[in-house]
Amino acid sequence: MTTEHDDQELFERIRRATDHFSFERPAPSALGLRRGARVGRFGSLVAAAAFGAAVTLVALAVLRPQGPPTGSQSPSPNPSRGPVSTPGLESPAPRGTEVPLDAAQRTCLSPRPDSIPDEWLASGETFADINAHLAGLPLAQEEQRSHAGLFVFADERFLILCEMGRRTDGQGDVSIIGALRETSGTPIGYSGGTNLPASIDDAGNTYLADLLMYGPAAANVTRVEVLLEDGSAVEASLGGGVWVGWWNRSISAVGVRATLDDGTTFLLDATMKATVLSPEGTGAPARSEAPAAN
Amino acid sequence: MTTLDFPSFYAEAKDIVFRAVLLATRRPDHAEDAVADAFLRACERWETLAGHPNPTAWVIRTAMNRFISGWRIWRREQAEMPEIVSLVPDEARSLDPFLLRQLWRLPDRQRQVVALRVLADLDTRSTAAALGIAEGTVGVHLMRGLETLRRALAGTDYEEVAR
Repeated sequence: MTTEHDDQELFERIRRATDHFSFERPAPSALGLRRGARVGRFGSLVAAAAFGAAVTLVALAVLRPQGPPTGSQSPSPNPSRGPVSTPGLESPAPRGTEVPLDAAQRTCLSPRPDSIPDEWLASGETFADINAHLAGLPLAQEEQRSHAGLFVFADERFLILCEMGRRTDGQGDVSIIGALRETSGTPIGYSGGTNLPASIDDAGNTYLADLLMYGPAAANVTRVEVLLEDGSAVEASLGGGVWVGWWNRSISAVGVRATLDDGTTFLLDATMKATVLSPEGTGAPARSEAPAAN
Repeated sequence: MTTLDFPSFYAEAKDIVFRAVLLATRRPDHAEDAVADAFLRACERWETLAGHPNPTAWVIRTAMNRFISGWRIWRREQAEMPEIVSLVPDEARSLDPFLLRQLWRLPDRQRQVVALRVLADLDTRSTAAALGIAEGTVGVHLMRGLETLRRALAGTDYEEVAR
């Protein structure tokens, strides 16, 4: 029979055995902690050109009266004035230059035996079962922009968000987010978001960070906008019970607004700080736009 | 209730949270992401979270939720990543590599409960909430996990090393 003293001895030994593990990432208040680990390089010459457009757009936003939401989650009447919604900074992809759907399916739904967490397996299931399931996920959304295409594959159980660079047909230029489907008791929910950091290519072209947020959406939601801290808004893609907002400006999100089919709006307190990080491997200094913590 | 500012809280809690989430998940890269994401969320909400009775438990729960719900980013280039679950990271640096290996081999729930109860010093209620299981189940898994470790250590110089 063991005693509490025995337990404490074993506890102490367990702590010693793991004491060498340390978390070395900088505090979010210091550098603007990045969400997610490995991220794609969605740059192109178009993205570099878009930087100029971003500056212009931000300047216009400063001149515009704004009233970012407080993040409350109460339904409110449809406001007569509010942030101007833009479908992201990037322009739509020119006709005929879209990322092909079959390429997205090959890349985004390919097997990942070592990247599927144990928690995804139902009783009696194998990783092969999950891979087979993922390979057959139907397309729920597709949005093509000048520098990348966004594909959302989803069913009642899994969700794959896949952003593919246009110029490279996805080669080395893909970020894929795999997740279990979530539901929300409210018209929209927030499942996650990520900063895709700025990068630089061999020619020295620097690319802006993409930001992305997503979550579940109820059937009576007709429109979703991500509200940015400069007073503008990004219109999210909506379909298959999922909303996805993505934008190519390093501007933090201060909330998400859903418009319901009865004309009312719903504000969700989902925020995400934008960070601009050092282009990987360049040694260039990192720049943070995240406000200091308290 | 804590009166710490966020940087002080981060400095105090980051390693504890990481060790617990790492052992609970056994996936160093995903654990880092989940912990980073959880601390970012804590930073964003620090004004209200500072009044939480146990902000460390909140961060661990957030990190575990993020991991379990499957938020992760894959890249095509990393589709061939090696199997890492069976490998104990930095085993050679551990002061007790034998015990670390035994911890790593515990069944999922036992390992998760040990991680949160022992490494993060969470109480039964917080552990149950973080893992989404009943409080009574926490005690059962903890007892079984400790028994498993004791059996594995029975042939070693446990008593001597424990001192």
